[in-house]
Amino acid sequence: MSRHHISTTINGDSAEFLCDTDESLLDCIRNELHMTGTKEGCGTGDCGACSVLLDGRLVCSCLVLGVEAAGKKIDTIEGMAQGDKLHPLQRNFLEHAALQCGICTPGFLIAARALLEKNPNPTETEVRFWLAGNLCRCTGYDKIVRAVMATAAELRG
Amino acid sequence: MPDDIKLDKELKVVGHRNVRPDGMDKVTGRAKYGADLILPGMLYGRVLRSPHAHAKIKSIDTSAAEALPGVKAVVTGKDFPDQPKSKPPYGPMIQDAWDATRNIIAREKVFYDGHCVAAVAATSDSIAKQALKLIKVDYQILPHVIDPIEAMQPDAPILHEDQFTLGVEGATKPSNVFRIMKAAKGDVDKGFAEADLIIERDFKTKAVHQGYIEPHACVGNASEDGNVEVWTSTQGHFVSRNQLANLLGLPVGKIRLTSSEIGGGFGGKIPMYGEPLAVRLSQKANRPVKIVMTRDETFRSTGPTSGSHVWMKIGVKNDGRIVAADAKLYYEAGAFKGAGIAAAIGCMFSEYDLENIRIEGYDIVSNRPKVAAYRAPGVPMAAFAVEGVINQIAKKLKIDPVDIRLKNAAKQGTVNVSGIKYGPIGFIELLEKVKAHPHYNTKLEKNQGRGFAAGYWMHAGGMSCASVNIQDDGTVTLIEGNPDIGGSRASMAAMAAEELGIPFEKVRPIIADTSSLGFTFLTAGSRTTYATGMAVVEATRHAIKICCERAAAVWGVTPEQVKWEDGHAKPASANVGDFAPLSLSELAKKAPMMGGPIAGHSEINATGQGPAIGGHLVDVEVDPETGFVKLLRFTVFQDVGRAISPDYVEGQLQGGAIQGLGWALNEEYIYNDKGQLVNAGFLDYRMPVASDVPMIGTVLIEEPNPNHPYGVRGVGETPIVPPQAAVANAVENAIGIQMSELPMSPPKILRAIAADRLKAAE
Amino acid sequence: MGEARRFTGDVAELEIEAGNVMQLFRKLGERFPELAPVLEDGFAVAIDGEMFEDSLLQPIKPDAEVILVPKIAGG
Repeated sequence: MSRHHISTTINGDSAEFLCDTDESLLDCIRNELHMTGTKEGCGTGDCGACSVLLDGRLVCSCLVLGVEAAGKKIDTIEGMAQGDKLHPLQRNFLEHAALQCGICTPGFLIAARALLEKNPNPTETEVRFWLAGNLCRCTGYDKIVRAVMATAAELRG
Repeated sequence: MPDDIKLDKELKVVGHRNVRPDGMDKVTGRAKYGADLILPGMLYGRVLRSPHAHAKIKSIDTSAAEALPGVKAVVTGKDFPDQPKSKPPYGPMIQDAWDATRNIIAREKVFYDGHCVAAVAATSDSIAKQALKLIKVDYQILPHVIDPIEAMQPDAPILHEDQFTLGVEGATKPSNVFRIMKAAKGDVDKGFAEADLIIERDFKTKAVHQGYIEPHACVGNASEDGNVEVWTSTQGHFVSRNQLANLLGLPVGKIRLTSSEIGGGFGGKIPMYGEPLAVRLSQKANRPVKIVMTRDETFRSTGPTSGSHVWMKIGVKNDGRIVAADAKLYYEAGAFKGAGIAAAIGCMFSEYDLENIRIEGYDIVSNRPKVAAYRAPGVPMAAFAVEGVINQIAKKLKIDPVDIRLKNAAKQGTVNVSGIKYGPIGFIELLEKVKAHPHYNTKLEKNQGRGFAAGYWMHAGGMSCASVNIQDDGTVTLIEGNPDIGGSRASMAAMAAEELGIPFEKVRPIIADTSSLGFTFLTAGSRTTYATGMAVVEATRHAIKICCERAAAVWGVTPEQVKWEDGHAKPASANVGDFAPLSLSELAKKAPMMGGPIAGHSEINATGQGPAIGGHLVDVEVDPETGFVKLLRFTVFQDVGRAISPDYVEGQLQGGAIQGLGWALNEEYIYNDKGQLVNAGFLDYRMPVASDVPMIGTVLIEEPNPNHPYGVRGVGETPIVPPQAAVANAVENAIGIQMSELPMSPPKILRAIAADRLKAAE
Repeated sequence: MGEARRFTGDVAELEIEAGNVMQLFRKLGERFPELAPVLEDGFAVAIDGEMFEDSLLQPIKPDAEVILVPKIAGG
């Protein structure tokens, strides 16, 4: 079975990989590009741990095929900080203790950034519904929601 | 956020909100979890699982799979040495070796849908998946049984022909009941005879999964000289190493396990699943083998906790004083013995000061995955019944639900059913805080209800090791052996920094692999901050002692004349002499010329752990048209001893509460008539999401445990004990109908409402 | 002795002279041979109300009350 040669952009850098026709974008990012910050919790689009942006749109990378990334722009957790400067969401997740085991954290951060870019002033309810596609089993969501709300306030100035 | 926390002003690091040392790696995607290790030449492992709930394996033909290009190894049960039956104890976290090897890979029979029968390693994941399809297993399907009560019936299919019930004299027929465990205190019959009111009721709960977001994942790497390296997501790599040596017949010293970052465990990552398979495949293929479970495999083959039937009878005087408590617990153990009955017996009545108690616990095997520990394993199901009956009694006697608990609350000096006598314990203070809390005193609207319940966990001690290395610039490397699931490295570093009198950031905590530190027991039982924390303090004090000895030598005084304060060796009093304090970094810098490196270590078997009691207060609104329960407000109260890292203590309380909420309202294992699990995915196994819940209030009561240098009790288990009963009671109060079965999903609530209306109409 | 009664012919209470847990287990094992093989692995002890697990060398004071408790551990 011949593999597909895919050219794409990941976190601003051009990248190429080979993939099988049925290989998910998640598996390509992890197993072909060896960027393991994007996590697999279910492989069926239910937990959001594999959230990435594809041409600016929030997707579960386990539900996207690797071949679909051809010519597109992918943003993952590895590109969220600028150099040694954390994104305010990353900093607020640390300061608000919004993680325990941390496996869901990359997905929450990617999803929360997508929210704040769309809606800089979300209500708590809006935050909760936007993040309803991301499962966390450790925190009960309290500190995650607080960290996102605090970041929104900070970014509004 | 906490409504109330006492921060000890004298402490500079402990009790403060320090940013966890492993946090940066976790918000940048750098942290390496079980599935994140990629080694050169690594093979992909996959597991073939039984589609049958109970079947005899007549034969397995792996030849076609082995012939597939790219397949490098295939293993079945025959590739593992059989094990003898081992001695008790058995429970959710300790398995008989005979059982353990069969749970990892089936031998004579498969015992549940999802039971591993073979595993392959191949050069790509897709080849490994193809290879599984080429393995031919000839099964003889046997009748199966899932429910524990059905499994006890005389005509039930028997899982293990050589299992005779322990605790029954002269049992001659094999039984699915492994054991009947009994405990008693006082005279229950006399107590009931004196009671003014007796309530007797049955309760049922379903099996639920721990639901950690990271599926099990590991890499096994065996070399030709017999050394074995394993990378795995586990709650206890030292325990796993010893079991692995046993299961594979290898010397312990040849095996090195490294614990990856762990993406949640809650008890479910105590047992091993993929590790022995990955190592055996690696031994055959002479290449590293990675095995990562899918979510479907995680649901079908790992965890869950027991489904249960509980019979409960409690007698009280008219003033609410409990005079007798009698209970029978019927718990599913899954395919192999070891349900959480012992813990349930030890904890279920233990927040109360009761004279007369009788408990019988049944440990029952059935055709489901072997249960794994799940946060206070075994206790929530029993507490659901205890607290449900106490709430019912309070209603009948028109006593406030907190007052009835105040009337019966355990206090210092209370002796529980296991014979444990309590030291200082904060239950009365907790109940008083509940009564005074604004949450308890707000008004409710139509279709809304408020529920309260309490819960107890006894905590664990056990073996822990720690090393503290003072580097030559005065920074500190702290080495300990507990996988960090919820922020324990932050607490360990805080205690070491507090002892040394240096800033938190100067201590870097590291979790050692199994070859780099002495044996350290599991991250489980809420033992880590207690037991390993104690080892960390002891190791740090050992290093400080060396620092003081060095300062004494410099000053020409005795070590007793030197004290350690704020990161410096200082003369213990003015009489010692007028010496300028020596800082940790000064002593560290001179160490090479003053006797060598400064390091402290500790190897302990911790005892003296103090129990923790929690109370959960819950408001819900029930939609009578849909049966949907909306959570309005949730406040968790808990005696935490002392919160070393308050952020993460609150996190444990909030997380446990919401897991309990899922258990109460939605989560359950659903089987079809063939005994196959039909909801093995997050879409159908519905765990709480962010939009299901409000903020969770926390009230930390700090009644320090006198046996720990910082008063730690442990916090992680207790918060999953009360929520099921608290939510059930809130639902009962909202709809005026008694709820005795979990989960209280919308169809069940609608049925209860319809039945009630029908009854009212008659 | 609760759970241990299965091995003791239903003897629930007795007096034994022992300076530590190991000596206690040895003497209990001599008296109740069926109990001997399960004591160390299967039981913890509460000595005057304080729990000790895997603590064979824990001293026991004269006139102390010792209760055998099945070992338990958590998640």
